[in-house]
Amino acid sequence: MVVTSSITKRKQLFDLPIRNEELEYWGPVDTQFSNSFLTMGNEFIERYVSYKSKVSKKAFICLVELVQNIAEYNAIAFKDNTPDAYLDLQVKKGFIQIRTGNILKATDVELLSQKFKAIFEMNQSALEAANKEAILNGKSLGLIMIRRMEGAAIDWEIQAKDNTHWLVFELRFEL
Amino acid sequence: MKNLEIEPYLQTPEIDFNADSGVLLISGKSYPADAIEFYQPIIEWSKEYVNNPAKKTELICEIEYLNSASQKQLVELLLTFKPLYDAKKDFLVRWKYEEGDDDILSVGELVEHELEIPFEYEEVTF
Repeated sequence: MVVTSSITKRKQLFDLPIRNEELEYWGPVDTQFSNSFLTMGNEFIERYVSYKSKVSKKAFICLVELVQNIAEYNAIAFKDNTPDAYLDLQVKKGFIQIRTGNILKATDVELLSQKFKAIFEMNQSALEAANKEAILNGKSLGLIMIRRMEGAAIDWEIQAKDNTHWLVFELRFEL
Repeated sequence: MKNLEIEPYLQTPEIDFNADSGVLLISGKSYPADAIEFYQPIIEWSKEYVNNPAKKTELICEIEYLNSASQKQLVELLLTFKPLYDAKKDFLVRWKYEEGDDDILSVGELVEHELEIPFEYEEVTF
């Protein structure tokens, strides 16, 4: 009951809808907000997944990487003018689903699109080599971690709407 | 040398590094947005420690959650202890991972292989 009460309070604090089994947010995502959202997300998963499972842990780590990537990208690309982003975590009977959407600067679209395609189209051996390289020396480790998640259905795309480019992710984990 | 003790917080692990006994513990969740800010003082402490280590050093990593930024910092931290092993000092990494957590296990195995420092593995329940 303590956890439920804490989640409810925090949802109210951030004007989040209070619905069972879904944590949804639309608004600016900076580092401070990402910390709060992830703390809340961790409690949320532990509250609504009735047993501690490998799958819920994998889902949470993907949520961490996606939300922190958005906050980090916003800080670099938009500095103090943090744009709105969409975060959604659902724990339904039988699955956990994560959806995110964030704005990309037009000048970054081509480069990011290539980078994402390269990671999500890698074969297994290239992926393992990239993972090793990223852990020891490089960047993009968060994306590689997501790509390596076993048992996750992962969709991503860059959508253009009204001259705005959105990076959209949808991950689904069967419980 | 002073011991290093940091209480666990929402997204950061407990740190209990005892310079006298050589038992150095990292325990809990590690997914801060700014992992460099959290791990840098620990790395600095460790660099000083390896200059005058205890007779035996045991680094216990008992990690429940590990984000990508923490992984990179943890590798940097482990690297600071490599001179101990290279100098044939008594040094071991005790890598404790949650039962069935192949992701954290594989991070340990990769680091052990690449850094060539000794690891022992143990499944635990958080």
